[in-house]
Amino acid sequence: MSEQVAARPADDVLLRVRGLQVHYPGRGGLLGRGAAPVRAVDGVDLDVVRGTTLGLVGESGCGKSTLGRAVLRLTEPTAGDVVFDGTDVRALGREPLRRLRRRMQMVFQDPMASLDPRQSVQSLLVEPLVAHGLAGTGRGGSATRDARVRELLDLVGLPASAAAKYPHEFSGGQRQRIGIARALAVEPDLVVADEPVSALDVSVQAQVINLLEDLQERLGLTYVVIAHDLAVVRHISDTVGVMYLGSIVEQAPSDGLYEQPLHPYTISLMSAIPVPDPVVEDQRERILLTGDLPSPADPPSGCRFHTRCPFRQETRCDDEVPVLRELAPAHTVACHWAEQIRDGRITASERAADPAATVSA
Amino acid sequence: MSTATSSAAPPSRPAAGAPPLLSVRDLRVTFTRRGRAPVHAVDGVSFDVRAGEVLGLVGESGSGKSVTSLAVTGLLPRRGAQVSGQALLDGEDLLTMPRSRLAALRGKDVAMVFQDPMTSLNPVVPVGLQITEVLRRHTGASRAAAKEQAVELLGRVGIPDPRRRVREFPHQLSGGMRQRVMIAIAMACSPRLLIADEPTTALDVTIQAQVVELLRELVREQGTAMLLITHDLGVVAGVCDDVTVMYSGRVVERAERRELFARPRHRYTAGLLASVPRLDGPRQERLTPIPGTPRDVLPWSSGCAFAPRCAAADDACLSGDLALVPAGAPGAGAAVASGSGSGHGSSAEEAAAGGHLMRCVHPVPHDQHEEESR
Repeated sequence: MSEQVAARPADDVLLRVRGLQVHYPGRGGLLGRGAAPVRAVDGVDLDVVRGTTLGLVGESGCGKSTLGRAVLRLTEPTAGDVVFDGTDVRALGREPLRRLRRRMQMVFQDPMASLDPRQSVQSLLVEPLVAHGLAGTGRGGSATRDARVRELLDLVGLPASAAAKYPHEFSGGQRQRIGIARALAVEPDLVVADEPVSALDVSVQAQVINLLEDLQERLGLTYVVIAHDLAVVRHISDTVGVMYLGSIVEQAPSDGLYEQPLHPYTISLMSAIPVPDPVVEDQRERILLTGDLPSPADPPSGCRFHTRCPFRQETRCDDEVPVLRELAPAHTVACHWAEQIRDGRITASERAADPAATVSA
Repeated sequence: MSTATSSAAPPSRPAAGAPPLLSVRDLRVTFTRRGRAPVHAVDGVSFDVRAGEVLGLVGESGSGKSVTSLAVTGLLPRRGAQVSGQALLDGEDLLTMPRSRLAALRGKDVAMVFQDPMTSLNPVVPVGLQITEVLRRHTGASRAAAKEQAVELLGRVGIPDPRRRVREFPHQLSGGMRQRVMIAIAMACSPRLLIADEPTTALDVTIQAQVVELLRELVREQGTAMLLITHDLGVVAGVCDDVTVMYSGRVVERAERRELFARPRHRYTAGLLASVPRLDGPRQERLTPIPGTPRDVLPWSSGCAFAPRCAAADDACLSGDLALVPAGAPGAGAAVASGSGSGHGSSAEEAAAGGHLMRCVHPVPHDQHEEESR
């Protein structure tokens, strides 16, 4: 896939996001208002090149799902720009937005919760066609619709007989296929997939990952894939953005990120992911982070990661907000000390790395 | 310890020759419901766990791994669930002992950590009280002494400011902290056996790494025997000494951890390993999924339950009960138990205890697999 990326003009950007913010009003205080807002997404810039996959990875509460929804305006952003194929999404009124959504669709994590249990698969797949005026009308309409449903089911690898069934009759993996077929029914350009495989059994995850890759190749889709599993994200993405507390701390081509993670959070995250190979596991260096994610309503000053950072320095980290800097081609990182960490001039502190210290903290 | 490589290695096996602390033999659990065919959730499972060792029980949903742990701890409902077989803890059968004796053991000698700490902690009782409850019940400690111990335990599992936290309710804690509280409760009486059922599945990876380290330390320092139930092969690779792979209620493969990952013989185990994207694997390579879903199974009585999803399956796989046989034995692939005996607790299995066992007609050939992995 990366060869294709190289061949494309770099400015063929389908989705451009600048300074996107989503703040939820805080609760508490008199009348339940007035508390500090929860800064779920706090200033994110993204460029998604047509035909490629951008992966967003981070822990729960880092704002990755909110970011995905804000791009489609399923959650209203509080500030920033979202430009989809030259159209300013935030400036659109209700009806133009609804029409634009034909071109940007979403696949959700839990297909059981996102598919209406009382609708048959046929009806689930026809609904978006009708909503966007793509269903045939008049005498030939019904036949056209049936043909389209069969085509969609075939596309995601389900038998035509599935059309008459209901969501509960399918397994998790098959339901996710229906969710994908529904998103693809209206022939979108962009698909935002929020944790598309994390609710599935291990042996079924690979089927859905392969399906998403095949569909991208066949239909030229552009993906934004949101997941907490870095191994999955790395596998299907061309570019990966790592999020922490509402902002992107590192963005890089998938292979570059794995070979040379630059941000301390990415380094820690990678070292924490178990690898199904005992030989590797026994030899790995593991950096254990202390504590939990701070509250996004009251994020730490300076670098937001400094409260848990094993590489934290005396200066700058606590009071100066780091900006994304390009250290290698297309590889940006928001850390004051990234070069020093990369060159090994700063090493992880004992405090954060020592498991015994974590336990007795 | 810092980031030393040794810290990641599990403890060497101090008690390899010691008699097992928990010895489960031919465990069967059948769920019956009026008007429905009985469901054999666990179908003749045997395994041993020794002090200071971690046994991994791996499988997907429906493999019977959680039901196994519930049966061993006597937590299945009496109605509707028929349990047979043996679960010997130091020679005492957990399945047949009187309830009062079981109640005295549970929480003291046998402790459990479940997947979702929000549903296993009492939401209307402060976490401190949930720890002291266990201590006072089993050690007869005074209220004040138990409280001090609770504070100490919370500190040991890495909860900052434990003196304040003991007064808090579960909803005031984050997911990782709640799971730490569960582990603190489990650790309270220094159990000899810890059963952890998907202890890290609901947690983020960085928190998972902390919890795994905590469990590993418990095994290393207190010599606790641990039964770790999980679907995550990565966690298994890092923590377990021995691994038992379950499919549709039966053990399909068992081996020492390095052996299992280097030379998986059962097609299901090999399929699982090939279908997981690896962080350190080549990225462009396509994943090799296992076709179908865990629900597409055959009853074991009519052949291999995995046959409908297996690329190597043929008629030989559908010829009645398959035995769990040593993987290295010549002609192992063709071994089929005769008659109705399904081959658990057989002398062959006893002889190969700790060795590599599998239940497959057409196992993955050694050489071929080695070539594949290069």
